[in-house]
Amino acid sequence: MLEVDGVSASYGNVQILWNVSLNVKEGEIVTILGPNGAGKTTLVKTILGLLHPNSGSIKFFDKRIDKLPTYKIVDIGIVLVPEGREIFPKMTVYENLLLGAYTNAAEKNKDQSLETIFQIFPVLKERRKQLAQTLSGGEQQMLAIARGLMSKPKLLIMDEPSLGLAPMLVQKIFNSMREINEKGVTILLVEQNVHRALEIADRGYLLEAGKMVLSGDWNELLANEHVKKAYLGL
Amino acid sequence: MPLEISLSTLVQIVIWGLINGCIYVLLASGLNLIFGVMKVVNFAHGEFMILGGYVSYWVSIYAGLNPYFSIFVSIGVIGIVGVLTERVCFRRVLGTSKLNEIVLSLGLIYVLQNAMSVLWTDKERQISSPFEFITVHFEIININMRLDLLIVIGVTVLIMAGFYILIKRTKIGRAIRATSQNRSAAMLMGINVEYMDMFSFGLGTALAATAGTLLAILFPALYPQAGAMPALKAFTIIVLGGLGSTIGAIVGGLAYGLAESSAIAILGGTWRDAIAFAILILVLVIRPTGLFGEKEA
Repeated sequence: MLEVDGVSASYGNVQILWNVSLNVKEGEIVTILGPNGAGKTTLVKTILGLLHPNSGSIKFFDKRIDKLPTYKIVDIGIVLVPEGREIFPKMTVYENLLLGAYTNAAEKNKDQSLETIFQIFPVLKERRKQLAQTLSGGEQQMLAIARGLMSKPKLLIMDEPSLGLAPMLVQKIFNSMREINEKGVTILLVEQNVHRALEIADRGYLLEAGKMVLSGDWNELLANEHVKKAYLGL
Repeated sequence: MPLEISLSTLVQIVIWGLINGCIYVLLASGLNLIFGVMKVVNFAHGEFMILGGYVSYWVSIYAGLNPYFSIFVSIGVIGIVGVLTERVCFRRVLGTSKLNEIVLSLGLIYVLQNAMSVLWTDKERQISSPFEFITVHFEIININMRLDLLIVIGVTVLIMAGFYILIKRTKIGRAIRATSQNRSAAMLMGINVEYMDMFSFGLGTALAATAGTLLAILFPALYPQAGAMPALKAFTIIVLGGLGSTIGAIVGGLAYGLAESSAIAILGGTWRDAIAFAILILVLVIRPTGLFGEKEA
């Protein structure tokens, strides 16, 4: 459903991505692995149109999207749960969720989405009237994911959802990811936590210094010598 | 200087403080909205206010409309002028550099002032109200008040209530707040943030137009350069209330109006404008985040 083909992108004069390609099929969980500064966040920002590529193309269901503004990309079903949560701090949990359902298609399914979300994250139901800035880090991450789900995504991209969370919460977030995937949402997961990411992903890509250096099924990646040495400490 | 203030003087101070406060609340709320969403200080905000006054002035003369109804025409006209200004001028420089935005809005001051001089000359004008000579007597505090003063307060309350509901209770209001709190996250929600810029700029200038109309009904204060000082005060008010805070602009505007009328009564009229700067300096020294502002996280 998503095809990134030979994309290069830069911030000003600094080129970050070099001829990056990847694809995601419907129903999959695909992960992008790589160290800090590899360009993972830049890549997802480019997919979402927050940054436009210098060359290469991005297609979603065979339609070019690399020139579209972000709001149109969200409208056709690609949603990003950004790194660092990026919730709206001075609005209530409920208002944050409503903003997730901003697009017309998502708004129609608002009530049903809310029900599903409160089922996956019951704590958000308890805290729906609280200001989002009063939530704990883990709850804020849940809110960010829930807000993404409110948009009724076809493809949900998550940028480092486990960053800075306690191990128990990380487990919870990853469990919810599986649950979300089972409900029919395709997931593209950006992670530094290679072990956990490969546990739930069907396939993975390895991005280093702005270049795709490796791709394959989860068992292939786990068996790869470079991955073993550099990321798994084996 | 005798500091014995009689009860009726005190009542006068409060009433004039509230009246001026109303104008400031309207002006500052618009400026604040534009700043919140676009992070641009519209230095030409006072000129939009005066332009709004002139539109009402024309409508009430040529169409013979009651000046309080002409406010709505002015809101529409200046709202559209604001939307066009954002689309044609500000959008092109937004995000390039702060200096470009400042120079643009300073330039707009001169363009608008000169355009108004051409259209309406430099004569000081007032919109005449059909209730000009009606006064209301309040028995308890033994005071006579122009009916217009009461209507001005009523109109301000109505407009601000509408504005508040729009911002806090509607979908577009939610999108406006989202854009002002986190622009890139708002984009990720599917919000067209450039549309929010345009809408907020138009809404902000429309509020200024309301302020200009009310000002011109109360005082013969309509001339092309009349917007400069009020805009400066509005800027002080949003710093006082806390940049970006809706409630801060309201409380700040009323507080500023009261401070100003007290200064006039106690220190004399010449001090009227000096207190804006005194307050600005005090707030920046004591509480730079303003009354309702929060520290950057």
